[in-house]
Amino acid sequence: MNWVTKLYYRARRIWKALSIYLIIAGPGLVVMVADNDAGGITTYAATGAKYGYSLIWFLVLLGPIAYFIQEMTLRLGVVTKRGHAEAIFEGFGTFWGWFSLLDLILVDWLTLITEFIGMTAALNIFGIPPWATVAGVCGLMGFMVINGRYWTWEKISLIFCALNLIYIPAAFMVHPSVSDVIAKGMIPHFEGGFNGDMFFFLMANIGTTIAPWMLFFQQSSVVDKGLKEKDIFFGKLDTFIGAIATIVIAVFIVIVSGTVLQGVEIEDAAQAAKILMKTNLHAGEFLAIGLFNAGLLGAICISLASSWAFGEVFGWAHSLNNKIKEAPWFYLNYFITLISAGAVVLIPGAPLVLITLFVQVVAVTLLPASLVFLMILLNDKETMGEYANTRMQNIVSGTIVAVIIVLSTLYAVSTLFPGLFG
Amino acid sequence: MTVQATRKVENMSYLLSNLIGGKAKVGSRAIGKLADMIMSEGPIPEVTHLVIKRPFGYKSLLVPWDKVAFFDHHGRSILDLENIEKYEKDPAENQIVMRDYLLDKKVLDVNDAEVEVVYDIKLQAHNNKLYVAGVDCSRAGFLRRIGLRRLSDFIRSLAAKIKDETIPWTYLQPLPEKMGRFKGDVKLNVLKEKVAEINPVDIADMIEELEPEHRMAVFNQMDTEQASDTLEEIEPRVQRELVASLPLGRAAELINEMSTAQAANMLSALPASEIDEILERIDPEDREKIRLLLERHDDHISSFASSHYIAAPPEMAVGEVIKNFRRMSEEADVTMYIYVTSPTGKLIGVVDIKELLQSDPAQRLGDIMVANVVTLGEEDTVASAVKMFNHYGFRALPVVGEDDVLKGVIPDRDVTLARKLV
Amino acid sequence: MTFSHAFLSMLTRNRLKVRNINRRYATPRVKLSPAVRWTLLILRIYLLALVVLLGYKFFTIVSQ
Repeated sequence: MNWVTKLYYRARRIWKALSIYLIIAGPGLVVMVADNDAGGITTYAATGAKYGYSLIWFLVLLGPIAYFIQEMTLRLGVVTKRGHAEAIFEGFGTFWGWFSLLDLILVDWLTLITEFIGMTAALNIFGIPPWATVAGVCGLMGFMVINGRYWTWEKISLIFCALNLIYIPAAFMVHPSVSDVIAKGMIPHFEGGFNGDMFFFLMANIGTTIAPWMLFFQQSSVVDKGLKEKDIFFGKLDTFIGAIATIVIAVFIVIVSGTVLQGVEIEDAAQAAKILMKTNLHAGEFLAIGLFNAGLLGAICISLASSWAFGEVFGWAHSLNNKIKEAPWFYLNYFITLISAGAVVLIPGAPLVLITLFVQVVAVTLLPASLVFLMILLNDKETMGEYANTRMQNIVSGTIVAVIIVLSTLYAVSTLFPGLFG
Repeated sequence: MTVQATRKVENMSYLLSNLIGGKAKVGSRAIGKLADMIMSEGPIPEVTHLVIKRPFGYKSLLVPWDKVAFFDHHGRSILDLENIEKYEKDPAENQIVMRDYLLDKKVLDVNDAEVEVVYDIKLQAHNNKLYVAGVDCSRAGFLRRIGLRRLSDFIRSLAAKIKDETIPWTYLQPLPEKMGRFKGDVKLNVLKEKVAEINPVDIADMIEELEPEHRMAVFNQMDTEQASDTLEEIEPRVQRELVASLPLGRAAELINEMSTAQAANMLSALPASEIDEILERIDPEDREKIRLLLERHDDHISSFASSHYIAAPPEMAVGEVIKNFRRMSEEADVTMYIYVTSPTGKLIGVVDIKELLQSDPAQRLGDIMVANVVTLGEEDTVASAVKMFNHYGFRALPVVGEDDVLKGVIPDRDVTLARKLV
Repeated sequence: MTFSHAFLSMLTRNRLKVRNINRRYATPRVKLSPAVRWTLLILRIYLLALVVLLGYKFFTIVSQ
């Protein structure tokens, strides 16, 4: 072969890999970007406001954590062709099955409420009343599935994922000092010393990195998309790129809030956007749009995670490739979860602040169990075959799982009993 | 005429790159585009399924070839499907997806040296089936593949005589079991020990298709006897190039192996100066004979006739001939016609190979043969044979002796050669 | 009348469904090695502890 031929050969292989990637990309990217949901954005904005750029290095660490966990759900889904809920029922029997399923429904529903809180607050900035936001979101999400194709749903979701990158231009608008970001942000250190407050923020950030619905969601979506063993490499790549995207977005949010809002105590992201609009109108608007979009993406994934899990266990038709009348229970579940969560936000005097606080606590009842189940299922050579965890993967994921369980539990406990670590 | 009416694909050769993207219709409704084809395994593989890609994430179809009612040279097809959903399938793990698995793969020779890249795949239609004829590794194929089809066609129109550098499928090793999107190379089986198993006629065909540098590579792998047999069979233009690029000693060695008549045939294709140089290096007694043959002007045609032809009794079934064709045509100089002879050796008819292939396999040769055969007599001269060829335009003419006993067959290229000698 | 009737029939249907699910997944497929057994036991204790904590918190909020 001469050099032209060789060059051609290489280029073709890369091109082919890229085109296959583009076909397979979806579940990993969506779940990772949706990980930065309304609650996540609030946490990042608050972290930036309180500690400036100084915790950026810590956020970078969250990327591999998310990747290693989600990559396992991908493999489990591809090999077993089943969702996580069904896998737990099958693997661990009815007690753990029902526990996981019912707890998932509860956690998802509560989380969905926080997404609606974020979305309504974000659009309220633009003068849109909450009822219109809730109605609009339900309508949009109905539209995404009404066509009865997984493909349509996924492509629309990917558009929203792309919209999440809005934080990058927002960050450039507030003119952060790049040298500051690198000097303060990239060197691991604890500004102002390691104390209870700082610990609380670290735990909050870890807590938003892995949510129970993410495990259920990615596994089910991989199954619904119909990925096969040969697609595992590209599925992992999809998850990996998603993990990078989620970190990039998180870092840019911290840069925005760290540049403009440093020293301001932030309760929620919508409030941050409002404060920001006073100094830089467009950056603030971008932050609000981003918050709405994050809530929407979260809502999209969470309501589906519940419906898929229910459908799997109850044996209903549960694919986005089904038309509404082919899978009535699946879609009914989807809309009930969605509309009821939206309605709670509209109830005057609903204890929204309490819900926001307690979501993390309730999530922590489910997260350790599902992580442990994930580890055990991934070590089941009988079903996983060559795709079972290797010793190295067990060490890495085992450590991550342990760290997540301990920190998220401590976070939950300190939410319940404030001042425990202060 | 009935054959014409039910023909779904024109008997001609196709290039895969021209077919991909052709619209697929069911009745008059466009349902998708041709994305790929699936082929069977074996020495002469055929297309077994079409992969039809549908828009907007609808699952692709896997349509068996017998459900294709019409297929043209742009890859446009009309499918005979009663229920589209039934064909929504992905290719199975062990199926060879031609475009996905073969295109842009490396072509290795027997020593695993990288020779070329598969730019295209040549298909040949016959009796409503589409066979895989070979892989295209030519520059023209390269240009087509990188989207410069016009340039490629332009260059070809300038040099219409340049043959397609297609490697016939028979000269490829069976595809590796683990052929996949990125795995597996296409391997030649024509060098070294494998070559011995191939008939010189076939090697000659293959050598004609190769690029000059590859020709020498193949040639150098063969022992003298085989190289000599092969050289005889190569078309004069390539023969000339090949002998010219061989060292004189080697060329003489090869010619020494041939019969004097064949040697004269072969040498006559060379320029006079080279003939002398080679003649000086071969056995003295042969040398004189060859010189004599070369100088003979008014020789009888019978000395040019070849006794290597295909003869068969009239009772033989068409199907049997087709089945055994390869074996029967081994050694044969003339393969375009099958001569039908009585047990006494009397020539009673002739069957064109094209006719043979288009006939019902159950028919007998006697039913389809042309009984009124144009023949040459043993005493006819070269000059009269040339006249006959010019008049009838046949590819070969039989030479008969007394009582129409078939004595030999003379191919048209030998007559042109003879004419040169006259 | 009809509404309550429909509601009741839905309940019975779903009870059957749940019973089916319970029967189908009655035996866990994962091999219960000592390590797995212990892990599951610890998980139960962990959950119990969390529930107790939540209950305590709830009690303190209510009693205030």
